[in-house]
Formats: sequence, structure tokens, C-alpha cells
Amino acid sequence: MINKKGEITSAQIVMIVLAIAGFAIVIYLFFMLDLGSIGTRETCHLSVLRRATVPQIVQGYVPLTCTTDKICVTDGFFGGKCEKQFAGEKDITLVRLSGSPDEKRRKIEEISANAMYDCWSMMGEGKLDIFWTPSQEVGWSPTGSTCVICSRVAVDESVSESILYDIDEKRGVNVNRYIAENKVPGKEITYLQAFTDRGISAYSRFGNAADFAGTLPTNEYYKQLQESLKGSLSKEQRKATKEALALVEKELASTANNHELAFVFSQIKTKEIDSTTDILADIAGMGATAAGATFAMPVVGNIGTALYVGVLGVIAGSTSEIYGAWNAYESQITAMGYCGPFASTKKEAAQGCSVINAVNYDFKSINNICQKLEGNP
Amino acid sequence: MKNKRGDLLNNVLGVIIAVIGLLIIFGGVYMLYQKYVNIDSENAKNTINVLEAKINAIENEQTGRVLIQGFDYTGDAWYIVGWGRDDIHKPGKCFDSCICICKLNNYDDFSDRNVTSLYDSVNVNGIKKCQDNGFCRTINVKSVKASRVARIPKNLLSWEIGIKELWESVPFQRYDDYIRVRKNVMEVIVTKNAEAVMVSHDDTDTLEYDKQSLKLELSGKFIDPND
Repeated sequence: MINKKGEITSAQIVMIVLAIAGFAIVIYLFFMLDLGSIGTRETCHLSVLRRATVPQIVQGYVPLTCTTDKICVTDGFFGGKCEKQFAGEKDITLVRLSGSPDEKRRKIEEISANAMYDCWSMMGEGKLDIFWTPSQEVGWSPTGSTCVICSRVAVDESVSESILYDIDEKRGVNVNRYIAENKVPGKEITYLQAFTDRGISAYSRFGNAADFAGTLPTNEYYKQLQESLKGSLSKEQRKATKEALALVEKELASTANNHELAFVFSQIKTKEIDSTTDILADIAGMGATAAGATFAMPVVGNIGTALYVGVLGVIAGSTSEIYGAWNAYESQITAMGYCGPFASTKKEAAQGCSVINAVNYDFKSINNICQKLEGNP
Repeated sequence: MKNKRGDLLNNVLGVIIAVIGLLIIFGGVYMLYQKYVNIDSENAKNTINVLEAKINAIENEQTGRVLIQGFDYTGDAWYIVGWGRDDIHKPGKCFDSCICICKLNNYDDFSDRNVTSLYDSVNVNGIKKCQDNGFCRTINVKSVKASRVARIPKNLLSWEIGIKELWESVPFQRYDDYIRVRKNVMEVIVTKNAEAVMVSHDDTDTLEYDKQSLKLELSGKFIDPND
């Protein structure tokens, strides 16, 4: 057949089709990858899903595009912008408190509950196997916890200490109460039910803060210890009290006036099939409310102990009983978690525990629960 | 009879389409590489950006604690290194004073990895690696230094290693001209004045790491336990 001038041959048609198809694929990938146009939480959640659904061998090459959310809570129109905590950092969400002291407290509770819930849902509610490494799989490197710092909530100096903490426990900031009593926006269940697959509606020890030294603000606990020393104590009691006092002093010195919390998601795996059940039992023994595979743990410091004892058989790092570094706000927030099999692309699902908790934003507190970090600062 | 003009037009059109197609495909692959495989570099860039921002935010004659979120890297570790304006040996991309983050090898890229030395710094090889694969940020002062201090408790060495003579020769403190980036969170102290910026990190609490590395180093088999 004669090839008329300018007529397109079948080879050219194939090439054009291939070029268009290639272009379409690239454009598709571009939009899939360049997720800057949608919210950071959605971006993070998509990357978590992507990592959880790819074959495990390539999991390490799929980045978690989770960026730490930075929230500054400030008082009124003239409050600062958390310059002390976020100096030089960008993309800070400013939340200005207004109204009565109680309204301000409720706002802080709401921010904290949402930060915790957003983190939990972003990371697949702890049920996805997202931190797989080949070296751990074959036993070349030890099992350790991997974390993502979902958000940092800083309280500006303009917010009075009396807003955060009130000697009357019912009036002060109480995130646990908020989590137990308030519904997740757009849902018919409370935050607590959402964290625990509707398994827990109330904490077994809710409101019984005196059971835990860690639920007291450190400075209050310090005062109590000083008072106790003035009373009549046995030799052993005096020694123990002095030791506790030294610990508190150290803690106060290291993190005083930090006024910044990190909402951290952590995951740790175990090779033993039954060990997650044992861990749950350990956790329950340490004052947690457990339901099925989920739990709520009131003393943050204990969660590290429970997980490390359960998974590694050793206590890693310091698990000081004093976790309330700067006030009740930090030390009271209950850690929520899941222990059991993870959803995975692998036939034999991995086992482990995932925990979401709020810790003081200092290296000791974070490293106590995290051996590795992922995500962007 | 064949139409030569038509053939030529067809060929040129075909070549143009093929080149465009190839460019798009290679561009896509490069983008994928950047996004997926090069995660370490992206994390390192983020880290040095945060540190630069924090350094700039600190006022002159002030000292600040800066928390750096580390990251989970593979292979060689990442190090934070500083060079001053007058330093002769420094990466070419460091025109003025700068702070850099570089992926360096424990053996090849440091002047002295001997346990008994008080002091260690990045060698010429390491500087070349910083130039090729590192990320540097300019700091407008005369001198920039990043240093690690590690206090090694006597009992740890003497008890664990059990060689008295060796202990006598081991310094209680060592100072190094670099900061190894951790895989979790680390605190650095930034001290700033009109002339200099000093970024320092107390590495003492990584005793487990020191213990393991020293033992291995002494046995001639230094393997970085974090790798």
C-alpha cells in the first residue's frame, strides 16, 4: 500500500499510544505521590495504607509521609505564639483560648483528645504492620519499638498554670474525662470507645487519681514527699522517700517549664504467638483497663515497662514512676493501645502492640518508648 | 513509488514522540527514586533544615536546647559536622561557615577511631563524602562547630573489659568534632555569639552503644551496633 504524504503509520499509532499511556501513568503517579495539595493527616494516612498493603520486602522503601503537626495553645488575642517551643519552625497551628477558665480547659481537653484520636486513626488504629524490617525478620537486629510523633502541642507562657491544673481535680484540665464522656466529631461513639473498638466505656479506675503517683503534678508530688519527710517514718520509708524526692528533683530540673507534649504512636513486635496475650495481662496488672485486644493505661510510665518486659523480657531504659513533668495535664493522659495480630500482606500475621500516648516533649521521655523514629519533624 | 518527504516526516515524528515518551518515563522513574528509595536523604535534609532554623532563631549570646528528631537510616550513619570560615579542609559546597549532615563510614571517614584518643574528627575522605552526598547550610558567623562529648564511666570500662592497664590509658571523656544522628530523639545544646556557633551533644547516656563498640573495638572487630 502506498504511504500517502503525512499519513500516520500503524507503528506511529503504537508509539503515540505508548507515549500517551506512559504520560498518563506518570501523571497518575505524580498525583498519587505529590500529596501536598491534600491535608497532612490524609497524606500520612494514605502513606500508612500504602506501606501496609505493599509486599513486605519493599515496605522499607515506602516512606511514611507523616509530618509532625505543631499546635500552639495560647491565651486570648494578645497571647504569644509559643516562641519558646517552636522558635524557627514553620506551619504552626495557633489555637487561641477564650471565655471562662472552664471553657479554656475544655478547649485544651478537646485539642488533646483530637490530637490523640487523629494520630490513632492516621496510623490505622494500631492494627497495621507498618514498621517491618528485613533485619528484624531474620533476627539480625533486636526487636525495638518504632514511633511516629504525630503532633506536638505546646502551651504558651500566656496560659496560666491555674488553667492547666486546679487543686480541685474536677475543675482542672482532665483529658481522660473528656475522652470518656465526649463523642468523636461526626461519630456516635466516644473517644474512649473509638480507641478501644467500643470495648471500653469507662476506665476501671477513672477518677481515682490518688492511686497513681504519676497522675499528680510533679510539683505537688514533690511537696507531698517533703511533707512526708517531716513526719515519723521508718528507716526504710525515709530512705525510699528521699530516693523518690531525688528523682522528682532531677525530673523537675530536666523538664521544668517545657510546656510541650508529644502525641506519639509506637509499635513493637513480638515473635511469640501467645506473648501479646501475656502483655495484655501484664498491662492489666499494672492498672490498665483491657477489653479484648485493646487497653487503656492510666500511667504512661508503666506502658513502656509493660511492653518491654513483655516483648523483650528486659526493661529498656528508665521507666521512672514520675512521669508528670510539668503538671497534671501531661501526666494524666491515658495511653491507649492494641495488642494482637496485625493486618498484613504476609500469610502469617505478625504480632505486637501499638500504643498512642502523650509524653513530655523531651528526649528522655520519647526515647523511653521509641528506639526508632519515622516521619518528618 | 515511495514518498520520501512522507517517510522523513514519519521518522522525525516517530523520533520526537519516542524521545518525549522516554523523557517522561525516565522522569517518572527518577521521581519514584527520589520519593521512595532516597528516604534517608530526605530525612537528613529535614533534620539539617530544622537545626538551621533553630540556630537562626537563637539570639546572640544565648544558649538553647534543641530537640532533633532522628530517623531510621540504613547502612552508614549520618553525622552532623560544622566548618568555620577559615577552615582550609572543608566541603566545596560550604563556601562560608556551615553546618552539614553527611553519611559517613565509621572506619574510612574519621581521622582517628582509636578508643584511647581524646579527640576525633572527619578526615579528607569524609569531607569528600560530605561534598558529594551531604547537605550543608550556611551559618553567618566566623566559626561553626558540632561536637559530641561522651563521658565514659570508669566502672563500665574497668568492670566490663577487665583490663586495668587499658583503663589507665582510656580518657574519662572524649570529644569528637561531629554528632552522630540518632534513630530516635536527641538533644543538642546550641551556643551562639557574634563570632561562633557551637552545637554540642552529650552522648553519655548511650552507654550501651559505647560499651558494645568499645568492647568490639578492643577486640579488633568494631561493628557499629546501630547499623
